[in-house]
Amino acid sequence: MDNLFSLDEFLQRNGGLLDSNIWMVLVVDINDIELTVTDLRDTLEIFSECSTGTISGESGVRNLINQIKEASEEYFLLWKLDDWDNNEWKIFDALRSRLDKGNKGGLLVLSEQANNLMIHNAPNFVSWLGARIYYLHKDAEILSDEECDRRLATLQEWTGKTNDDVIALAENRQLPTDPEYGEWLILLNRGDLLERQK
Amino acid sequence: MSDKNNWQKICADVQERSLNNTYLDVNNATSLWAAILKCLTTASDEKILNAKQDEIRKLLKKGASSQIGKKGYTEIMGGGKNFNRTQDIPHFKLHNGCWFDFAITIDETCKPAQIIGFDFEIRFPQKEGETLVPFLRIDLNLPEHNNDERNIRFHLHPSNDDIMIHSPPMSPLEILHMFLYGLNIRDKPRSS
Repeated sequence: MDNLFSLDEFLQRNGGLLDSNIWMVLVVDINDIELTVTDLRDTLEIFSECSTGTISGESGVRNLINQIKEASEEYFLLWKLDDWDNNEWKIFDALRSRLDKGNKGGLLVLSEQANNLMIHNAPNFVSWLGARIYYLHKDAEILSDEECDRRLATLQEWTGKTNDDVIALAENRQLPTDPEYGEWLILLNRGDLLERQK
Repeated sequence: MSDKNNWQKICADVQERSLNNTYLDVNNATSLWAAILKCLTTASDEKILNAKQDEIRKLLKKGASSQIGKKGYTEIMGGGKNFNRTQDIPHFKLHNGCWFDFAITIDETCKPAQIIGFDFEIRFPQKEGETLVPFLRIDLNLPEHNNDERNIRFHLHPSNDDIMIHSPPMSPLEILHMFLYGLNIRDKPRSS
């Protein structure tokens, strides 16, 4: 799929567009929407260098449009549109000019089902979007198991210690302070042991 | 101020000054990861960094997926672990022949999140006759419940793993900028 992007690729490719009046859609597994919106809230401002408002559509389309009208932010992240029915999307389409507040655009985070409803009921807005409907490849920026094992093997070779040795040192509050030992515990999913070193 | 006790007091004072003036607070690990991604992507666009966007994505990774409401400790890694300084381990390469990697540990159990450890190492092009790879490494060691007796938690290694000098108060992003834009390699050594 051409439009399947990881979060880092999405930011790299679209970071420059966030500063212009362009709207985009990111389609996400419905169970991942909340976490994705959190990640986007943390990262979009860094790439766009403009203030970003996160606006929920759970109170309906007219409420969403009003929130956008009142908001002081320049760029908008819209979510919780997944319960909208055909009619809500038709109203959204009719009111689309209210989204245009100047020279900045926004991003809709939608489930696959909501994206289909939008495509069928908001043809004018979809025309605005053009090809900018993207699908999220989740967690591609997270270290893979294979990469994790490789780093652990390198740490073991460097120190002559095993994973169990390092866990035992941390449990006994004798973890060496070299930064590599913090990484080691995190790679073992035992970051909790860093708490004991405080 | 010539005896060892005084030197240790000086170390403690220098470390305190350095750490008190270093930006180690971050919103969270994801925002720091994004700032690093942006910095590297910009350097790639400017041809400072010899890595395309997809290569940056392969090299820059997060070590743990934080869950909402259950924040812990996270690692951001740029390039592979490379204690032996061999070029076959994945790394970032600069247009001037320098190459580097890094790893950062972030404590997200507190608000704001805090950077509690990192290692950044840049290696310089080897000249004819050199047997060891010249390098500069900047480490922030993990905090310790007992004061580090050497009081040199935040230090740099100037081409020698055994020599430690107090680091200037530079955050990870500032060190990354220094690697990308601040180290000009001359063909000939500066004349004395």
